[in-house]
Amino acid sequence: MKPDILETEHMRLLRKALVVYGKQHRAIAHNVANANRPGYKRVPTDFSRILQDAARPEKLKTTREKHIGTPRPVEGAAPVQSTDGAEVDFAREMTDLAENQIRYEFVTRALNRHFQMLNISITGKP
Amino acid sequence: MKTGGILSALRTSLHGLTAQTRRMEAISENIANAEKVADRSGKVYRRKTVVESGGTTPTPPRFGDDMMLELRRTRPEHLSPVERDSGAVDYATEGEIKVVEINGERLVYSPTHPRADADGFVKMPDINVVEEMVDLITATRAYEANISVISATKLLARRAMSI
Repeated sequence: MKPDILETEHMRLLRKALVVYGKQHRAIAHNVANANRPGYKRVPTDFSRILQDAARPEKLKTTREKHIGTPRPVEGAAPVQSTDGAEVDFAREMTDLAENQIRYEFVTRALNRHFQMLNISITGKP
Repeated sequence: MKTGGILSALRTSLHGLTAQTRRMEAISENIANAEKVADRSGKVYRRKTVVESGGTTPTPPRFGDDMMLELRRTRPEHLSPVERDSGAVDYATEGEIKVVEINGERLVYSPTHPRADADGFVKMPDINVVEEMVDLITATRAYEANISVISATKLLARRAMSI
């Protein structure tokens, strides 16, 4: 991979995160808007697996027994029971909404910091 | 118009808001006419309900890396690479909201009423006010939930603009 101050691994992950959280938000909005529709089945709103895949480090080759393999990322806490295809629970959607909002804010803030640092390194002024 | 960005969630929420408003309209009309007796020709007010129909089932989004597409430009007229919305979820097409009327009447014994029939019964629409109130509360809560989603969408969009 060519070294590029704008296309770092970090940036790639953050950009992906923005896309993922944006899509999560849209899915939640869809669930809430159709909640009272008879026979409506909830669409999945958790796409974090895509981020986990994106954040996974490069595979390490193990050619000998004593080589250490790629450490496995720790999966999240106890798996939440999937409610995809069930009826919409407002409380759940609202907590998901709040969580997603905070995550999105975090990513935008991280991106902001990143660009600020780039700016400092370019101009030499804080 | 098809937009894939986060602001398109606004339109989804707007659809939800419209649906809830229609429900509230139908409910208030039902409550207003709950005690209305049949007119001279024997026609009774018919209970209105809102039915949402149609709409495509959304497909799960894809997260391909087509954002990273690099296009070669050999002529000045060629377009520069566009950041694509990788695998938009098709939430855009919403179902339509229809108001349907339900037949049904109940007979109330009221021999002194001028419209009472020979046995002393008057015809009234088959509306349970308590049921309508419960529906009204559900509609209000759903409306509020949609409002919350809209404010969240606005906040996310604003954050994205401030990067």
